[in-house]
Amino acid sequence: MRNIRQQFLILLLLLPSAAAFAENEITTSIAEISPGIGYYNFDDERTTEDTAMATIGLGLQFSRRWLMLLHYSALKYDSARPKVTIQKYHVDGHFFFNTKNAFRPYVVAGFGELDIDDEGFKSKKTMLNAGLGISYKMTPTWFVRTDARIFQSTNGDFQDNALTLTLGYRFGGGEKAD
Amino acid sequence: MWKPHYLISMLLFLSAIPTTYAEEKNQPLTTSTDIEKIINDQSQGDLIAGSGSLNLAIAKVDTRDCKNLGYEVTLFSPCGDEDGTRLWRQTKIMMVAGVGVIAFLAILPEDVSGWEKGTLERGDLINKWYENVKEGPVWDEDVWYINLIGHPYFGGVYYQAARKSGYNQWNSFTYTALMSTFYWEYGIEAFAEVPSIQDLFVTPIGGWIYGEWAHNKEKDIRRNDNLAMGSEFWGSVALFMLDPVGSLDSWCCVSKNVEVTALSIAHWPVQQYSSEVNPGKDYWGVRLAIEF
Repeated sequence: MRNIRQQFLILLLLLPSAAAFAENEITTSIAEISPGIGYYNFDDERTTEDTAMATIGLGLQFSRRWLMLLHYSALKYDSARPKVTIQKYHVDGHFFFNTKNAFRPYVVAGFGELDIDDEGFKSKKTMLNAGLGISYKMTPTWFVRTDARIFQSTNGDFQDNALTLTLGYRFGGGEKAD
Repeated sequence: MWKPHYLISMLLFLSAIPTTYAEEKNQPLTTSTDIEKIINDQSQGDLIAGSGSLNLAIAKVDTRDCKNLGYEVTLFSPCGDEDGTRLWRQTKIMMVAGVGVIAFLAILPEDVSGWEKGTLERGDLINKWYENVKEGPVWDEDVWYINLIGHPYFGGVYYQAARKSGYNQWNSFTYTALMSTFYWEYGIEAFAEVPSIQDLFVTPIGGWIYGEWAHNKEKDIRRNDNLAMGSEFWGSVALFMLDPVGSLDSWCCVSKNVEVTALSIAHWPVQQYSSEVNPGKDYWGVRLAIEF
């Protein structure tokens, strides 16, 4: 838990640098919500099978380059065992390139936890994640993003991978023109 | 069983800041427009009088462009029409309400409040708060309507307090984030449960989106002679729901010279209060003074 707090603090300290890019009046247009789907590939060392997941993100796009997102995922598991729940949540920072165009590659890094509750057996791992992706702006308010990430547990036990595809919506009219 | 005298053993996280602080902070700095006016007035005076010098040393020059502040936070140094006094008064109303929330939590069943039976009697409240803060933040397992409706709504309540005090969206969002984090998650609610990760995000961001909608909706209703769906009753209900703190403020304080003059944590030796309640133990409590 101390790790989470330290990482959260580091992320908060990064915010002023992101904010330094602002030029216009700030409105709800920087807020986004982004549901999605994905596939989670567990480390071979784990006994858990790879599985699909549903995700949702809520965050702020501080500038065209910087986005901070709280990400939650519910992982699907064997439906014959409904008492097994797997969920992950992480806070991520995204840095976008090529921001004048609709296709924007990005790097993403963050931290969070992966919780597994397997019929009473509970596991909670603090995970760091990092990856690469690409975003496509369809309109000022709608976009799609896809990325591939590595999730590494902080104690070095496990290394998982994930692919995600999200559809995003920006409030307040979305991205403003230059 | 909760008894009124147990209230004195409750500890409120928030302590008072002298009123003069807010008043001093709220003095609007002289804007560049004001300076131009001073220059023009004084120049005219000089022309008429034919003497005198331009002395601007008395004016604190505020060169900020209050209509285009970007990410600049002006909550503690109001810019232009921002009304720091109004916001501070409403903040105090919310703090007083927090005492009520603690009292309310105290009478709720244990499984709802999260307080073990006897927590208050044993004076363990501060330990409970400390343990919760030390343990968090965690991903909470609250039902969806608390996290996705309740928290954004109350985020919007904070947001409206700042927005209607003349602050721009970013400052109102910042105020919402500060209140939801330090007043609620790490303040009042931490007496009952561990701070929640999703609440730290959902309350300010959801509160911003809902609060801005509420702000515009309220303007629409007021433009429509306070009618909602053609009804004065529903108009009043809607206006209250859209800004409950503003409504309380207008009923109790804004025009009636009611002022919360002290809100602080206090410590009483038990002998000063009652020898019947936990003899031998001192009490921590809340000191609240309201001036009419």
